[in-house]
Amino acid sequence: MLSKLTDSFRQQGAALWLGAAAVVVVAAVAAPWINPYYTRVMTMGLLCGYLAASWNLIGGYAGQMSLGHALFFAIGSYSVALLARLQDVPLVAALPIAVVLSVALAWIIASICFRYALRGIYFAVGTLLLAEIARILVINSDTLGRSQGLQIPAMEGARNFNFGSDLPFFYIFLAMAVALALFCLVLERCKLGYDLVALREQEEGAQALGVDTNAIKRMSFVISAGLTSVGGVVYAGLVRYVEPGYDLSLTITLFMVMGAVLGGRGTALGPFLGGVVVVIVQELLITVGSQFGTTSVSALAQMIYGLFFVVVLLVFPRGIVGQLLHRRIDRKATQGSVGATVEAS
Amino acid sequence: MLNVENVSVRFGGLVAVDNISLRTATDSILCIIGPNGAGKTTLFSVLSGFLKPTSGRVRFNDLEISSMPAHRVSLAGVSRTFQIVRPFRDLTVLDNVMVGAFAKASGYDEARERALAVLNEVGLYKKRDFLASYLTLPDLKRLEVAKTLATQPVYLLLDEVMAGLNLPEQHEVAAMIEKIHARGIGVLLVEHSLAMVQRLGQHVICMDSGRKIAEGTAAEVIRSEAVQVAYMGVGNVQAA
Repeated sequence: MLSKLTDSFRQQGAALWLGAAAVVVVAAVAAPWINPYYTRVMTMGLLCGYLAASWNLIGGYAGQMSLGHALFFAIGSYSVALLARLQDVPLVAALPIAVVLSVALAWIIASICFRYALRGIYFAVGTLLLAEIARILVINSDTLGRSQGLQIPAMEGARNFNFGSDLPFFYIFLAMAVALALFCLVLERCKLGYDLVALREQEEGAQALGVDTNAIKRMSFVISAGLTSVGGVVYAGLVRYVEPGYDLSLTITLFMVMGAVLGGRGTALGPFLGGVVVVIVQELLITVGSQFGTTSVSALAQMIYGLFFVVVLLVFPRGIVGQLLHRRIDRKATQGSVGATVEAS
Repeated sequence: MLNVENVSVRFGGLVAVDNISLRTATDSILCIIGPNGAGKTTLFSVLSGFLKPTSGRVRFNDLEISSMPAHRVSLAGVSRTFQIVRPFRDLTVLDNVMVGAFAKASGYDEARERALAVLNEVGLYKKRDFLASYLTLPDLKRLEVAKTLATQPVYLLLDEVMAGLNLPEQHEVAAMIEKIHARGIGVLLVEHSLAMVQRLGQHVICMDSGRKIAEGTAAEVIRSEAVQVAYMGVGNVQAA
């Protein structure tokens, strides 16, 4: 386990991981001292990074474009909201409930989709529609608060996510992000990690090498869904409000996809970087937009937002971290071939 | 023993494989020749579990592999390469082969060791850190073999691994195949190059329009009249 970690560390570019570790330490130390607004932005950045990294398991490593992940996020947040309406049940209980529910649902969805070889754009549209169906169900249900959503009443104690401040949420998301990054690091060294990437690159080629592609698609979809719902649970504890227009929207899915794509699909660190960048750019544009206070400026800000992603992806088609790692492989290969020529001559 | 019993494959009205039976053991190299569209690749797809036969069955020792999905056929020990190469383009050569090696290896270190040994065997060791997308066609064909070989097959099904290579390159690949076979791995080969068929084919089958039209040693099959007509177009030349 430890040797796996250190090996992977080396292959992935130790500099990248050391940089990430340094950022984590600095952020963890600085968080209580800086302006709470910045802590809040960092908290949301970490959440977005965590969600993007969860999506990355199915969308990045396995290459199956899910556009329905808002569904699993909402299972997390709505579990918290619904449980809050029951007396004497701590909100932490929402965590196992949400994970079990989303894992079960993901299992069913994956079994059906992959059984009938729904892939590429068909899988994307299928999952998108499932999330949309869930949104319509919520909008038409009194219990689920219709389109207004549900307020989560304040309850005493840490087990109800009531910490007296938002700062602990920063540390919770930080811990979740670090744990997930390490999980991905180990995954890249395991059979499952290799099989997922092989599946993404060439499905039949992977099958010919004994990879049960349907089983690993389902596996990664289920893990990804479970992790996403954990994000939803903690998020609901933080904002104390759930609504279909946010929790079940395409926007939340796109945050995950953009974070992962921007940072580097199928890399361990990329989605975290991408998620943080997505949130920071969004916040910057909102701040600038509100300075002027006119709707036309905020519309302009949205366009700049879109343009920003286009430019970044033109410069880094594999995402920021993806491009860095790729350059590393390139360098190593050319050095290798120079070495080979020298040996031969 | 790999045992093909009366296998037929129909796509709608088209009979791609028509009642083919054959047996082969690990101690021989079986060569399947025939004109384009004869059903050779379709037969390979049946043997490797990618296609279910319309009728008939394939048995590998006591396993009926024609009712198993492709990945299980591969794990059981019958592994194929693809005529149209299917590398994992965004992975290095070593990582490509490690995917195959992980099929039987217990962990990362073992898979890596096995993959490096296979790369040495097929002559790609020096290019192990290259991305597969940078390889030339002859190297991609070797990579196909390496990936499959890393799964430690009992039977290796090679689908036109020498197509597109010049004669010296073909002989290099043939030498590689002979080395692999000498390790006790059964080889089934779909091949067009008659020079290679004569060099490698201890047991040769010629297919045309899905049917088996000749079987025997390389010399017998190549000399037989049916093969001369169907494959080398001798009859057509005379008619013209």
